[in-house]
Amino acid sequence: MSLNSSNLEGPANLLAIVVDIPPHLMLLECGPHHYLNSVLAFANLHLGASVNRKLCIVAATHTTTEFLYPPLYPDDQRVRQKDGRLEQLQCLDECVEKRLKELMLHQHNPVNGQANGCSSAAQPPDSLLSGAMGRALLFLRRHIGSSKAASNTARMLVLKVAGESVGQYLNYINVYLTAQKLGVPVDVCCLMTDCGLLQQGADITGGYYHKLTEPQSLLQTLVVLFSLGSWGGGSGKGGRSGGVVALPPPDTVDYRAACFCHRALVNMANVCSNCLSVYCKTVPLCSTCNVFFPIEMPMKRPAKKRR
Amino acid sequence: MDEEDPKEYRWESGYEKTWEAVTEDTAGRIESSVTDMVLRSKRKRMLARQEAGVRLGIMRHVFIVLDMSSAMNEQDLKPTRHHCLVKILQEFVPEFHEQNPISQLGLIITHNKIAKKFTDLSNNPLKHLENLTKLLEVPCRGEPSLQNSLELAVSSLCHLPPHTSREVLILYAALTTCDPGEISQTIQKVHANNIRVSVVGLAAELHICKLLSSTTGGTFSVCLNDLHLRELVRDQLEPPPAAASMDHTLIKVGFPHQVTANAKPAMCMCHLDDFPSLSTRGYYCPQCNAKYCDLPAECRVCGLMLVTAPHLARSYRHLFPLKQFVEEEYSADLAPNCYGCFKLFDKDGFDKHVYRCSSCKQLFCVDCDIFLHDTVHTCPGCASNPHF
Repeated sequence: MSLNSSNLEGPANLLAIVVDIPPHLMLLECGPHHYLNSVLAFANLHLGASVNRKLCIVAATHTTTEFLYPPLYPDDQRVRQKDGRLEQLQCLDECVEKRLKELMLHQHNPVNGQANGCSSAAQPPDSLLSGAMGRALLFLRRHIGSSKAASNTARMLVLKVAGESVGQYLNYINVYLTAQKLGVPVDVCCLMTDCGLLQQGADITGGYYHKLTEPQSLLQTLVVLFSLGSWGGGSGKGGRSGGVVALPPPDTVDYRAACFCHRALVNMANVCSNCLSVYCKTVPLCSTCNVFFPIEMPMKRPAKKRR
Repeated sequence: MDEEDPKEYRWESGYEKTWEAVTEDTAGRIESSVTDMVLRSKRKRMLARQEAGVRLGIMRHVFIVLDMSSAMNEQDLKPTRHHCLVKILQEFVPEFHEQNPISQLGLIITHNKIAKKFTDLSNNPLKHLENLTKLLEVPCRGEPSLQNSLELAVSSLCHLPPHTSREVLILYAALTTCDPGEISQTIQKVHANNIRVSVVGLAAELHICKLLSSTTGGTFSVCLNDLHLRELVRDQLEPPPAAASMDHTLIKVGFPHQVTANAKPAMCMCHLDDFPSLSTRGYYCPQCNAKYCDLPAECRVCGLMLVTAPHLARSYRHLFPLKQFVEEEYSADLAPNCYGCFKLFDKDGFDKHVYRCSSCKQLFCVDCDIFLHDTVHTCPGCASNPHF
């Protein structure tokens, strides 16, 4: 992080961190403490590196999404310095801790717990990452637009803990396309397992995708790949090449679609011309838009000729 | 002439006092009233756009007919009509391909009483942009021919499969047309072929253009200035309602693999004419294994349409639009902040009205409301609720 590039007049660097907080975070081998500490340390690093940096953290659980930082009222940002640290960083830690506690209490409220069917232990429920990303994007848009400096850069970092998201495909795609339009690269760090949907997002928006198999080294990965790699000296314009560290080349992305009938990924498919539903076989009726497909009978052709 | 069209001319309509809508607030300033009006007009445009029919012509084949006659040298649009229009089209083309990923665009120019196909139908925006820059060099001269350009468009569009939406967009600057025969027969022919013709006039309303667009179900408009012209052209981005006689079929598409590891160097098929260099990066047709450097494309070898899943998803926004939010007067007992951007509502300023999503009941500020409906097309509140 070169210090000389951080001047007060410079363009702001915005970062939105979307943190996945699933119920099975407890089962993570390094424990939820290490995970959240790494995220906080990374957030501190971002904010502390330059005065021009702005941050928002959005948490996504399987029942709801919530902003963890910044504080809602500007007055909450003024805290007394206690331990010789930058006040802003102290405020960040306190704010995140407080909101996270509220979020957890809200979730363990029996009313909410019952309504959301926590009993289905067979498959861990999906976190609502697309909603959190959507909110983070709206936050970034407000701050990109508000300041006059046109060269504001914004990035989004998504942290996902094990588990494949299959639902809400359209929501994710809409978020990616919007991010692409705003010029916000979406970096993704997946813990333990790959997530094809988030990988597509990183590829569409020009962000970086990384799968982390050892959660112990989360902080190290975040700093090396997603801070030094993507942000560069703070002046690098978004994109893969902006960083101080050269990143490994991206993997191939699987862009196949899942067919609507069997939910299987297909190489070739039939698409309804009216609603673009994907079918792996020829069907007589589109189940999405109720359109009949006239079937061309080869027997009819000679009849036409005779007439 | 105006039998079916009840809209009266501007000079026949009533006298509007537009300035009376502006009122002073308690502090004697008109700023709040003006911002209110600006936001309202933004929202009104958004509301008007959403009443599209259920069935849309998603697969569009559009020919843009560009008038290149001497009338294009007029300087009422700056610097000239020609330059202004090309500039607008340069914006329009990438946007069109982004919003209509499996559609195709072609360009016909008409000058010196003839019509010429400048660019064939294709779904590659880069090629179109290249040709549009070339168009800046082409001199504008002579008279345009409406009939010749329509005949040319019909001859290309009539062979297309019946499930496509066939469209012609005419950008017409001249007040005359030089035709070899009877144009009403051509209009009938256009209509019989299910082609929808929309006309954007740069100069004035012409009877023949109005007749043409009303017979074929298109729109007709005349621009006021360059910004208005841009808006009128951009209105064509949205897919039109599907014609009643349009057939629906299943289209075969391929989802190519992107192979980089242990791939053999090959030339991409899309730039084969320019002798491309050998490379390993690209997308491979699942049927014949031909390589393409960019998608979407139509396979040159086996004719398969090659797309990716996000391309198809781009079109879903037209089919599943986000429901309108309900406007509410802001009061202190509502949520203190916008659900989307986490902004505190400013009760006296911008946020006199807040907007509530009808399904997830979350509140949004006006900026988020417009942005969500214009660009994102999903409600983050609904996406943050496992019940939807």
